[in-house]
Amino acid sequence: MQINKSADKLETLSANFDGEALDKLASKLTSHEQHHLENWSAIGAVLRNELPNKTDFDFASKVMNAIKKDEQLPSQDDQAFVPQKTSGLHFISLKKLGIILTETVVAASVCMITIFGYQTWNAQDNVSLGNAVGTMGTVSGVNLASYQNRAGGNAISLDQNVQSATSSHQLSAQEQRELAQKREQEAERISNYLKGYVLNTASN
Amino acid sequence: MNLNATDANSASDEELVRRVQGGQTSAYNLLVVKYQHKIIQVAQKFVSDYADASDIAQEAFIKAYKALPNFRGESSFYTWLYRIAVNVAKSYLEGLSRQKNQVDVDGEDFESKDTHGVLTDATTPDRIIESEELKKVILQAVSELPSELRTAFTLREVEGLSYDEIADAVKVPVGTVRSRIFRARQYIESKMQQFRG
Repeated sequence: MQINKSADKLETLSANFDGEALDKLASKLTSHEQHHLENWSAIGAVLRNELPNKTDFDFASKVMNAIKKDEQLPSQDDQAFVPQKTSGLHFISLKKLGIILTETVVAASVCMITIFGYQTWNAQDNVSLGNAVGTMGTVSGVNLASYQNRAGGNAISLDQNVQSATSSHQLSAQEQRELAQKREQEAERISNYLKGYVLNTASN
Repeated sequence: MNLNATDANSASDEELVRRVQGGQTSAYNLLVVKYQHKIIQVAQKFVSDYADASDIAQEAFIKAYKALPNFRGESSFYTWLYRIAVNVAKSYLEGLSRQKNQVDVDGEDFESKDTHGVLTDATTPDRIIESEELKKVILQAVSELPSELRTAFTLREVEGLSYDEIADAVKVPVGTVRSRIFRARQYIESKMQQFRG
């Protein structure tokens, strides 16, 4: 009875091997049944002249075992692989971010040093008097209006002073040279004031 | 193989593939058993060594299994599997040439493992035998079969006919065809066991 059952089972397996009666295909095969399948495969391959120069009667078992192992491990593989890749990406992005930030800070520092340096260079004349040209304000303590409103003999009234001076008495050659020199200095100060004003406005 | 046989084979492959996609792993075992020798032969067109060809074939079957959920059946299963095997074999050869160029390989280490992760376990005694003698034994056993068994068996194995088609051809019930084919296999197997000891 037992032998008949086993023979029936093998006959069904033989039909399954031929792609028949697949609704009766067992979900798990014994090593004995697997051994039969490998034999039947070799027999068919010989008849169709498909058999390689060697025959491995464990080939399918090896493949199925490898698949089984793979199926048992996928979550471990994924966990081992994915975080490594992700952490790598994090590392790369952090590095890039660091480089960008450093470059920005360096560029900003250079700009600040340039601006402050320029303003400091032009801030030697620390005069701030009057508010005649209040709308323009002061730059580095220098106000254009201060020169125009300053009281005292040192104030230079540009043409007005020259005209009054030339009208009252004749200037000597030495005085004329000094006057011309002062004019130049004054013109340069005004120019510097305007440059400083523009830069100051731009930086604000 | 005639057109009907091809259709019958494809139909049974399709059914097996559907079952694998539905989670029945044993159906894939049947596909491996069915096509193993053909795929090893394909691999041997790229590498002469049987062990290398066997590794390539194993990897091809494993890759095919992993990719099977995405297999839409636009080509036959075998055509699809064949393409995978060819790609694996090409990658194997590329890996081999890269290794030759880049790595100073220690001989013993190199022989113990291949380049693709399918390990050739040198400690496991493989049931690998030379095929030439086996062929003779099998062909001799087939020739010894009673004619009704031999006819049913060769119509199935050589012509690839389905059981229904064989039943039609030899005018016997399908159950008889099934039984004859099984008995033929049993007889040939018994002769193989005697040969292999």
